[in-house]
Amino acid sequence: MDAGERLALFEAAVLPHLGSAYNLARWLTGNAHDAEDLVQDSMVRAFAYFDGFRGDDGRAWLLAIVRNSFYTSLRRRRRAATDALPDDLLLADVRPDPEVALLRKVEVDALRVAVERLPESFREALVLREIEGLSYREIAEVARIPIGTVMSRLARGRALVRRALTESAKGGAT
Amino acid sequence: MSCDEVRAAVAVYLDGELDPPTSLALEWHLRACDACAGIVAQERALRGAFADGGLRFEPPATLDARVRSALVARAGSAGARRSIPSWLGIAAAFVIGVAVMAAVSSIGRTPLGVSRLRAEIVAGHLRSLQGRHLTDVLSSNQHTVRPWFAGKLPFSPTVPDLAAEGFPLVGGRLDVLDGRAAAALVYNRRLHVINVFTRPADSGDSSERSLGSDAGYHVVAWTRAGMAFWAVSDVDPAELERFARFFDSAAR
Repeated sequence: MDAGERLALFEAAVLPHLGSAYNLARWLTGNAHDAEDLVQDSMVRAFAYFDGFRGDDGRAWLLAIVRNSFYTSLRRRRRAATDALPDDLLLADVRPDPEVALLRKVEVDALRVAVERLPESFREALVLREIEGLSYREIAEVARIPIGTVMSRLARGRALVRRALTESAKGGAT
Repeated sequence: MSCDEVRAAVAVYLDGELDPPTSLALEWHLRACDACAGIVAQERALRGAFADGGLRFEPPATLDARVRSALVARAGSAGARRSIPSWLGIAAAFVIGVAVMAAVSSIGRTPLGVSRLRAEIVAGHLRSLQGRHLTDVLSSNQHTVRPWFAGKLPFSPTVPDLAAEGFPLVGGRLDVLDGRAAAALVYNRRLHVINVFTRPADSGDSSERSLGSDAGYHVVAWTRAGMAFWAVSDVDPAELERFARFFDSAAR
């Protein structure tokens, strides 16, 4: 198979998951610029590995590469816990939702902040479960951890988020 | 189930990962236990907050093009044809395609000779692989691909499911043949791509015949029930002819 066909098949099987790759990358890196770099890096890497792809779920396969690329080759920006609302809330990649009432928007913002402040391993598990809708088994495959670890990270991540939301509600929100 | 067992299982249950017998036992417990039902409601509310949206980040429109350029560069694509940027709408790309093909054929609506037709089909196949999208609609489900063409073409192409024969459907796209609008149906054979171009026929029914090969790409043509078909691929010619026969009999 020549390079042109390989590229065409890759475009059909893997490239449609660009959105999911970007979403995970954005949650891992914490900002749009690094997320774009990570996605491009991961896509090129995925294309190089494409012969090893056995055709079932392009999305989980790609997300595993995104996660792996993040942890091994990209500079990680740690968000200090003392950060207030992340400035990325103002950037274009936050999907505008004009139908969300103002009060709900405050709640959505609080939730986003709570997730952003989670330790990486909990944040990653929650994003894959709640936003990408992956199963436990798929999360285990992407993150290369046992299913039991997936469940415990989800439980602890959710507990931290719930606590953060309770505290922010008490504090009169943002 | 006891309350402790229920509370330990709630998260797994709400994630849809709990086995059916235990799920049933859990639901029975909730009917009679307000305390546990309250906890489930809280957990549900948290998931609802996530599901409401606003948490999913969308990529900027430029990222797709940027990634495609990087991939094409990596693939070392030496194709002479200029790739059509993905930000062009399907309709715009279609119009450009018609203009290009009209210029190339230069004979208007007079049918091309066999070798010119084969050359055009092989060129269309290669064009679909290099830089232009292989598919406008990406789906292995014939019931998704066939209706997609409605309103975009003045005919409805047959889209048989040949997965059982080893030729899974990849999707479809709009294309041009001999200056006329055509549907292109994309199938896989192992890692090879097969394009089937189809549009209303000029002549009566005819069974599968080979149009020969260009640069290793083989073309098989047939006509059935007022529709003309051309299958093109670099798979073995005998394999392509098998594919054509499967396609033809499935479509009948």
